[in-house]
Amino acid sequence: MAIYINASSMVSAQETLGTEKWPVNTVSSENSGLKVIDPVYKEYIPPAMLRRMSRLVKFSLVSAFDCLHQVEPNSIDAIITTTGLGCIDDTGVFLKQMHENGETLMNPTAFIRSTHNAVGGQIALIKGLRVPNYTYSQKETSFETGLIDAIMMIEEGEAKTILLGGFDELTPLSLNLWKQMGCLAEKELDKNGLKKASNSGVILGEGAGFFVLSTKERSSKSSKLVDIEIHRESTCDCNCLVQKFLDKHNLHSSDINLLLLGLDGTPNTKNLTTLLNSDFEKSLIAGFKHCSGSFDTDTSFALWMAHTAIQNGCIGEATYLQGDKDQEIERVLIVNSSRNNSYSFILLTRCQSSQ
Amino acid sequence: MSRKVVVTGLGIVSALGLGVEQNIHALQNGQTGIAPIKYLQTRLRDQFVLGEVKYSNTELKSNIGIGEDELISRTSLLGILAVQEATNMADLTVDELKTCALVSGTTVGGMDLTEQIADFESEENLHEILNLHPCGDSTEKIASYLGVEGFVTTYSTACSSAANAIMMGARLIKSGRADRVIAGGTDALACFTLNGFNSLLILDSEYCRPFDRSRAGLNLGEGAGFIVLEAEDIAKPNKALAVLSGYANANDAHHQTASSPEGIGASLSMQKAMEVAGLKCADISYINAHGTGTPNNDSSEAKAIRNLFGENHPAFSSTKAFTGHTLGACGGIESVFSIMAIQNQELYAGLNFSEADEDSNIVPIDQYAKSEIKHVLSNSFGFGGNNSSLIFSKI
Repeated sequence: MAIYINASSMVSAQETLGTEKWPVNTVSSENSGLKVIDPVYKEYIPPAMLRRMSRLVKFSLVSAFDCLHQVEPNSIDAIITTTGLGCIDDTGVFLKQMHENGETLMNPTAFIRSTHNAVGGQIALIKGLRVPNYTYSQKETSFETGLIDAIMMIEEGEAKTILLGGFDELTPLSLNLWKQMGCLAEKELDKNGLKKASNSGVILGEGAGFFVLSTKERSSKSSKLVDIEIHRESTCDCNCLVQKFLDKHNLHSSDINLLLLGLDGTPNTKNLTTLLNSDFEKSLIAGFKHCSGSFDTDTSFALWMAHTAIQNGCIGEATYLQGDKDQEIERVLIVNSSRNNSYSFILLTRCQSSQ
Repeated sequence: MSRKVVVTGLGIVSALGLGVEQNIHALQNGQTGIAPIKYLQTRLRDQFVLGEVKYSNTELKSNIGIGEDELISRTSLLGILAVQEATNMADLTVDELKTCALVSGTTVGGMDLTEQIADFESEENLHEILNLHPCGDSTEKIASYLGVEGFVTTYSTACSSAANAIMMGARLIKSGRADRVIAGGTDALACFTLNGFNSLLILDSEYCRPFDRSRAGLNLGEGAGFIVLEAEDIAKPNKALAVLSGYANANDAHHQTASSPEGIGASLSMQKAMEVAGLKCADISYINAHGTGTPNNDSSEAKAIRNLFGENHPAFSSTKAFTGHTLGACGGIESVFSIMAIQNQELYAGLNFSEADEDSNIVPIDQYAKSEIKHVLSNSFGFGGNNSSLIFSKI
């Protein structure tokens, strides 16, 4: 069954909100992390509610609502949210209060806000959507496992139009944690650094990306979601897995016009660099983690890039790594990676009607 | 439904004991597992009773065969024990386990360890503990301990997490992405949740009284409940214990933490689950209610049952007066109870009930009894208005 991406929205460190094009100016990454550009929240969320929301919930809701505005909101018959760490900032606030107050006089606000399904619940509440509402939290593959469930729900006829989102926030604690592990980049990361894979640490990031998946294509702006695969702690070579994935769809590397690689500049994603020198010599190849920063659900950023690249027929110069820029972008392959040799592949194509 | 999904294994750890046998024995004999606090290191020790699993982490580790010094969350330990029992009961071979998918629900993940860190800003080597914090990590630990190499994911939708995990398990099988799925949930008690629920003023300092007019809140519990789901076409002969015949999730869209007074989401999820199963109200033999014992949940759920099923509603009860509210695990634990009710053709009574609410005026069963059980409906409702219903049917 064909599944289409009919709408997308991305709140990130770049000016990605409210546009279907790669922004003109690109913010370069700093080792203190890439934080999202705060949207004008009151344009999306009732001001009275804003005060009670954490930053993560706010910027995630903006992305969700911006995405819903592009379609008929009542057509949504399932909501899937995904997050690696959930509302980790509020979790920290409640824990701190617990230690400081000695488990007395506890204010429930941070506890209520700490649940992983806070964003999914708020979308339902504010938009009055009484539809199935699921939240996945599987570290670096949270977004991917939610995407697989969305496909299954559509295939099984449990839903026709699904709002799917991925989000995570950057907090002082996460910065401190990665620093302690020696996994934080010591200097700025540019796109050349991605290829070298010699940095000792990553640039952390945050963001919220939402998509509307449907059985029907909405317009020429839709793209087609062909397949997704997750390989957990694989013992196989990444290139070999990619070739098998393409074989499954009777495709060859040269059929892929745009290859989006989740290189993070460290040896953790070194396995992906083999794709730069392999059969993808004809493909346009781009990176994204120097623009989005690394976060558990950063595949949502890659999917936004892939979808908009198909719409525009081009990518942002800031993300360009190598290959022929003049080709038509018909098929996009996202290859993301995390630690422990885990990979995810997403294949997206242009819709027939938009050709 | 494209492929029929059957249940071939059950595993459970709760305040009632380790394993199906101990748990069912306690249910049959009306013995609660809720007791004064013994294991959780909390300053609220003298204020509340809890459904604690009656083993220390050291005892749990030794039971599993994990070294005492290994850093692993209680959530993972409880999960490993329950999954081990479930996969043994299903007679899964090492190779079958390898290709199994594992879908778990949890709300706290490694919180029992995280909350021991007194100061996040100054302490060193935080990462050793905090790497175990994510919900998804507890699931990965269970998978790696048991040699599960297939698809792994984690639900975190508050108190309906495990029920939702079981639904996803069914989809993985129906879509052909997996032949066998271990699904359920695990949650360890933590000061974080005890203080959270206490700050919301929904804990009863006495033993909880689900559906009773005098009820004043819930008792928290901990545990893990997992079931092995298999496609009927590949399941070994005579191994099926029950059929997962229906399931649904609906959102109340009423309030972040409270249920709508008329139980809109609860009615929707029960109704849709029956539609999926192709069943009428009269077909349901027993409802294992969410029944936490809070004034709000039980009133809303009772009204939903009353509105949907009418005066001749099926027998229903909440087993949370036995186990406490095990949050992310309760959908798994109560699925095990629901399937055992079918297996043994028996009804498990609630506890501590004496008088029904005036407006709904429906009375849960208060005596254990043998009974003809064909279809059991199990409810799990969570924060964020997240309502889930599962239906298990006799083979």
